[in-house]
Amino acid sequence: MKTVTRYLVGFAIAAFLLTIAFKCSLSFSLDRQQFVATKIFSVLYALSMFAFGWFFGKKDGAYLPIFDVGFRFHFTTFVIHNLVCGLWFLLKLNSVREKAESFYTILIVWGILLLAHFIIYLALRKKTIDGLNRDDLFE
Amino acid sequence: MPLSLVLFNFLGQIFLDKKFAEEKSESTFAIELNKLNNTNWHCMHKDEKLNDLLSAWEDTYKKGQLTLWLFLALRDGKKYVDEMKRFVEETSNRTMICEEQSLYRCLRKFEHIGVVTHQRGKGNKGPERKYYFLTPLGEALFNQFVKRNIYLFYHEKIKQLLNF
Repeated sequence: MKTVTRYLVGFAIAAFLLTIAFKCSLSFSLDRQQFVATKIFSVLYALSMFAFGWFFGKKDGAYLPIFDVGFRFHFTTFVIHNLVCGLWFLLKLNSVREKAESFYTILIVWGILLLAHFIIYLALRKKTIDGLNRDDLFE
Repeated sequence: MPLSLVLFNFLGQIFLDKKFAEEKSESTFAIELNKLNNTNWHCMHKDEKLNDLLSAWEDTYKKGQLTLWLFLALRDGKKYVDEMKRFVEETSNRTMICEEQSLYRCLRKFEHIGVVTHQRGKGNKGPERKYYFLTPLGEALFNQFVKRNIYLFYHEKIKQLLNF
């Protein structure tokens, strides 16, 4: 069963680059105590991730309408974001004002939300055949 | 004086009767014309309605038909998308018009669920093409579908009702 489509890979690459750019700008602005810039970067990052998700998600649905209620894209975002953030701390690229605790808190809270999303996805999978919605399978 | 009054009254009565008759005949004519128009309008309206209903029914009827036509095309032999499109449109007397995009979308779904697969082969001219064909699962699905849903129309009673 094909779950990793070219649009999901495209989104993963875009999310990876965007997260690195966000982490750079976040650490840079925190080091210089430019808190307004920090807030602006955070909002821009959130909006850009949403826009990329929307764009690639639409393309992905048109290519192959896998019925996963957005779980694959959510999971990819979770993995990419936390992987980059984890590596950021591991490579000590973080600002002195960034604490590992906040990273773990985000990881746990987001992990719980992702788990809830996964449960919904599993429940709705009963309506599918090989991941495609049985109502949209034949035209 | 009374005589002139009677005459005047009589002439007036004739004039009024004539006028009334004219009005009556005009109105009768108008009614008749109206009736005729109504009949025409009803006929036109009926035709229009019939076409509307036919179109609505055909739209619904055709919704699940693309799969059947695609399976028929592939049952006929391995084909690339252009050939499939031509087969469907020609065999269905152009009652089924399909766009390449929707064919590709359908084929991707069918490949995903394992009823269709493809192999690359040389085209008449230009680059290699994807030749699609039914998998054993696709063949079995088609046979079962035809047995349950198409063979019904070959029943004698239904053939009679369809005026075959």
